[in-house]
Amino acid sequence: MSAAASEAPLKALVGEVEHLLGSLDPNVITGDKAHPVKMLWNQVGVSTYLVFFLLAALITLLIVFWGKKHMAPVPKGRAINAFELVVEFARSSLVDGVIHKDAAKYAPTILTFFFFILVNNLLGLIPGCKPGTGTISGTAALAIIVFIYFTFLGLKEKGGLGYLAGLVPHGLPKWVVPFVWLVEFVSMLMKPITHALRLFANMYAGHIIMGIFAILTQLFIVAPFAGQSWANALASPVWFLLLIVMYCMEFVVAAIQAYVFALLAAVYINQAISDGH
Amino acid sequence: MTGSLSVIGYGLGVLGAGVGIGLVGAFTTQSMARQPEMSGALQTLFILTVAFIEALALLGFVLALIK
Repeated sequence: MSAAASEAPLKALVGEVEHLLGSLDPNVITGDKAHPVKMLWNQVGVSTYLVFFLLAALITLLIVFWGKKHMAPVPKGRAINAFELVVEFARSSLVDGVIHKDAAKYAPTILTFFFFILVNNLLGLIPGCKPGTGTISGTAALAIIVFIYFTFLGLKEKGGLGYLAGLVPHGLPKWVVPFVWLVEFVSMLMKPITHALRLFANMYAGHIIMGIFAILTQLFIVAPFAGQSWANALASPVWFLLLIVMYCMEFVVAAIQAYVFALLAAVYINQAISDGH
Repeated sequence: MTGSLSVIGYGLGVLGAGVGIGLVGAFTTQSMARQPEMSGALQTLFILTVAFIEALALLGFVLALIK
């Protein structure tokens, strides 16, 4: 930091970003350091992200039990009414609007994903906390659960051969069917990968951007003390303002990504159980 | 001038996704203006399509991180 401050702030940023990325790496508590994207099997351990992941699970449970306790035909109080509004919105747009068959059966699973990921994302926005969804291993776990669940439902609904045949839409010329089947099969295997990456990359990128603005705020305010021009200090509030704007933006991203994850889970389940998509 | 070539690759990947999301946004707005009563269904479809396109851009972002 002190060595970097004697350079122009924007040049010093390059060195600081390395530290920022390092601080976002999942520190394995057992002493090893894991890469955020590359999953290495020899680095199995408890990371700080996992602690927040479990904390989010606990908070979600507390919220849900609190909601259950205050459940009534006509709920009293602001908080419980707001909670009911969110549940009803998620229920109607994520479950009833997407799944066309036995929607009520899948509502608990999809809403669990929605609330758990929402709590995870919001927990990461508290300064000092990390989002449990900020590592690829965390989101991959969730995506693999969804993958196993919808494959199981599809197999149960249509049987082994029926499920594989159901990947191809009806009414295609005979000679294209094998090619379309291959494409659909590969895209089915790609589903958990993109499902996990989307959530992870959004959270990770958001935190990098906020971190960069925070570093710039600091670099521009210390620049005059290290012999740079005093005009630099005037730019610092601008970076701080951008940081606040990004922070507010991240609340929107947190909600949208939780919504998208649950929506895609519902779409995948609907594809698996419905005939001829 | 030093830098990472993978970031240029990410930039190229994002071009297509940007055009794609722009098209989705434009046509959703157009459809909503023509048939406001369809807004609810269109909004879900909009978010869903954007999520699919976004995945392609994010693949580039992740590949840029793996050096």
